[in-house]
Amino acid sequence: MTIWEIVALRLTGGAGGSIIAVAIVQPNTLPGFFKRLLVSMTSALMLTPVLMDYLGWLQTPDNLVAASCIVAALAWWGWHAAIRIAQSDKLPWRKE
Amino acid sequence: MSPFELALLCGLAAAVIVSLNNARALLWLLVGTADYLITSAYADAGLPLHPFFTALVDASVCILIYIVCRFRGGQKWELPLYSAFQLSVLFSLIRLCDLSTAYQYATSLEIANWLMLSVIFGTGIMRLADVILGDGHWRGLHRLVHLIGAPAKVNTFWFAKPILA
Repeated sequence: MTIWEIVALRLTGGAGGSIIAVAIVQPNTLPGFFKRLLVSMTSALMLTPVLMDYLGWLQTPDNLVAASCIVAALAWWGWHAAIRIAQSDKLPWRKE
Repeated sequence: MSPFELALLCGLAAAVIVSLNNARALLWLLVGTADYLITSAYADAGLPLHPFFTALVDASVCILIYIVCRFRGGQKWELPLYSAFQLSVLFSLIRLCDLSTAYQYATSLEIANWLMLSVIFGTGIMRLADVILGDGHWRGLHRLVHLIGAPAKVNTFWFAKPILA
């Protein structure tokens, strides 16, 4: 597979993962939707090989789409959760 | 036709019979049946990544319920239906991660299908019982029917204004 085929497969999986994720976790606003979409697609492009290494999957087209779908769906929820935790006032380093 | 499909067909027929006067329930039964037929045809044809395809179709149905409830007005009983489709999406995602076997996946989707059918059948049978029993016979049921028929408030994020702190 060429690099462009790999990128196209990851973007396909990322788009599918975003559609799946918007049905489960809805953003609060339209800007929030676009932010989450950007983060999901970027994560699908960058973090797919990490998940595939972790799961021990071979680099076939099917596995690329499946892994990037999972990454996008997790990123949709996970990065926002991380931001919420980091900005929370109930953390020990934020207590005054 | 396998016995499981036959049982689902009987459940579908029962749900259609009790909700003949409820156009929205008939619409969701039609959409759910189309969903089932398309996804099972895709899987039976041996095409690749059928959990991914199933998750996409189920998610589209979720988004359809969301949009229809927002613009045409939804009732409370449609929200558990939405949750059942979300559950179906989650089962497909779990299968996609290879965390469940094909047998467990089929079983879990069957459970989700029966949940959707029971939501619609339950709504229909309660309304029917309320009409047959009439007013003043069983107030609990009457209140319940009013509760599940109450308008559901669905806010779409593309109309919400961002909150500026």
